[in-house]
Amino acid sequence: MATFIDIQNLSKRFLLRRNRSGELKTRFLGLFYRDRREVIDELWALKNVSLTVGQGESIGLVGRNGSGKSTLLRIAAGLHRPTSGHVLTRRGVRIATLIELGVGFHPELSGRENIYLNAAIHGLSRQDINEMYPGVVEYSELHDFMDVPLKNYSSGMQMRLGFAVAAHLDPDVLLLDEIFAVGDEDFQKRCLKTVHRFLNAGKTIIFVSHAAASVRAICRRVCLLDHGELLFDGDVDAGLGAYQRLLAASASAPGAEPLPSPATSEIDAAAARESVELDGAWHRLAVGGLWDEVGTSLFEFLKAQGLRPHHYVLDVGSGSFRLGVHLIPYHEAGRYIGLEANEDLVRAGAEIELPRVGVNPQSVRVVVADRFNLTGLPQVDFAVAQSAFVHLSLNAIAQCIATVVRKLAPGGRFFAAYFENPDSANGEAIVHPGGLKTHADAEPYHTSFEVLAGICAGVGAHAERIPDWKHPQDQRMMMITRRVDT
Amino acid sequence: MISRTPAAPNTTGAEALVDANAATGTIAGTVQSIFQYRELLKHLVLKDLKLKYRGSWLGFVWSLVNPLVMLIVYVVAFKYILGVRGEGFVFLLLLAILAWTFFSSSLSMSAGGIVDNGALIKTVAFPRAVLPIASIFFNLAQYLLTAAVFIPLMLLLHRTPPSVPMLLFPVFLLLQVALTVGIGLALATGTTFFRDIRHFLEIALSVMFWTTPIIYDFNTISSPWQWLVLFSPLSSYVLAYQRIFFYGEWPGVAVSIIAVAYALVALSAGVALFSRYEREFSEQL
Repeated sequence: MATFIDIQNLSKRFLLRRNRSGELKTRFLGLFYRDRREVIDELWALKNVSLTVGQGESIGLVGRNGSGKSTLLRIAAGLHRPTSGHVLTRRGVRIATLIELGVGFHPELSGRENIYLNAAIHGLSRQDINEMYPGVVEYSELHDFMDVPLKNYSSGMQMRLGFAVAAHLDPDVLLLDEIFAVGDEDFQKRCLKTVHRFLNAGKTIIFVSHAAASVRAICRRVCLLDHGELLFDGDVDAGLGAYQRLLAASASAPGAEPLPSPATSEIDAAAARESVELDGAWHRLAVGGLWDEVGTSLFEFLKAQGLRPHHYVLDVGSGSFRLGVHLIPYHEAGRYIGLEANEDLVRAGAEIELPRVGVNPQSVRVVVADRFNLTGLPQVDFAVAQSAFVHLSLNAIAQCIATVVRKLAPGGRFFAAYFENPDSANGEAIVHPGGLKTHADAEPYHTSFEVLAGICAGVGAHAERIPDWKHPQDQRMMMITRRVDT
Repeated sequence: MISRTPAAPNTTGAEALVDANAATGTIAGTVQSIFQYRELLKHLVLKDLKLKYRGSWLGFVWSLVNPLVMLIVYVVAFKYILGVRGEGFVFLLLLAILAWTFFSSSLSMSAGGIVDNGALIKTVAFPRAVLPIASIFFNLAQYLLTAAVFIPLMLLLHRTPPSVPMLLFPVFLLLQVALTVGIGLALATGTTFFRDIRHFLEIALSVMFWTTPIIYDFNTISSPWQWLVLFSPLSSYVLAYQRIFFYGEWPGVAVSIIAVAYALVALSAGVALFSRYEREFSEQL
């Protein structure tokens, strides 16, 4: 594979001037008022980024706002000059940049005139433009409007014309900012189709996006940037997983780290606000509240236990994907299996929570059933019941353990959380730290390790306490493995 | 599923990779890239010409009305009200006004060539020099259209026979274009960093209007002032046009040397300044 673009140790510093001293007034006032003086802030938009782009690759540049992905695209396009480092491009390779559609369109000029002008801005020769022109008109489906001034076009028509020109520039490398974000579904589909045709022709694409779904649809490789550093460069699922974790971390701890620009903090704050508002939603309350905290803490726990993206994992009582929002992006495609009895919860999770973390609900495997029937599913390395035991009677728990244990791959482990009743003889309700009240004979259930261990022994499994798990609502954790007969 | 077929033969080796940033920033790189984008230059000039007259009844005639009205006003003011006498006052005035209008409108427009096109510069990579140069070429086109009407007309009215020195007209026009492009590029660069330059330009142009022999005859002013006027940026070109068309004589050594020197210095300084800062424009807007 021939190298088309070679980015070497690229760094970019922006100087952000407040109270620019370009104005004499500022200089004068600065003599008397400290806060009126010019302040120059340094912002390192990119720090020592190296990246090689080969022919025919489709790379998704992902990252939060202000992570430097657009800056990287602009430097590769030659719009900005690197502060240090190099961008090498293969001699003779034509690079086209699409950051915004229809820039340079003039409202008073006709469609035809705008096509010629726009193509010329992108560096096409007269002959190239004459050759591409019929294709552009056909693609845009605006035959009858070619002699009408652009100001009389609807915004949708203008967008169509803009993309039609872009689609016919025919470069070797296309640098694409998130231009699909605008436009209706039909327009987006058309864009996607064109991009695929482009890739099929062996062309190269670098695509900046926030949307995991678009990245998945276009890219074969993902580069994750954060605070100007290249955190990840590799396959799409792992890259997007890393990106989702980054988003999840910033949403659960807004303002925990210094944010690079006002624009970023606004957006992060909006995401955090959204997350807080969602906490009141029924599909989150139904699974016991503290939605984010429980999901995050369990996910971190599983990773500490050795969970890796290539493992198969079974989420028993996946509910509205409290744990799924962490696991699905983290795992390789198809490695996550959800099991849930409440169809409404699954639907709410799929409609609200999964898109929020950029997961396409269609790609997630969930078994909706109120029986523990796991036939036809692969063996799993990890199984986890985050709160299933809290909602199940002992009878159902026994059935659950028996079924899940048989699905464990050799060395597989089943982690289950439950509310502990320290005194099995006590039949009264227990109030846990945090205020939750549990019962022996009604939901939410509590039970004891001894009882659960006894059930395990009865179905050929071995139970073990996991003492060092800190659950925000005082649940305890146990590990169940298949008993190895010696 | 996306299947891939390599479009070009795969040749590996680092020597085929070039640093895109090494080429820009040099004078040769800038000149070469402008030539590559000549199609864009053409379309930008055509756009301005079309838009200027689109929707108006008189269209191109408006380009003739402006110098004509200025001419009438100056003739009435100087010849009839102030009683200035002089051989061929109207012809000399016309040649100067046309050249001056080309010069001053070009500079006013090209000073904003970068700052007025922020959206384009921030999103598409193309040689930025095309923008100010296009506005200069637009004014050149206007100049040629009006000159093609007025100069033959004046020659006819004055019964001036065609003479050999008139062949120098394209040469001096080219020199004036070079001067204007040089200053225009420098102004476009400067305005991007200091917006004050536009205001300064207005004042400088109104001073220059009086230091250029437009509404007075160069031959009627006294000798020390003649030298001062001669060194004003546009004077040598105006004098050259007046001498070759009205007097039918050669422009003279002093005028020629100054015209050539100014054009070359301005052009090379302008291009050098522009290429040096071109890559910073997108961050300044």
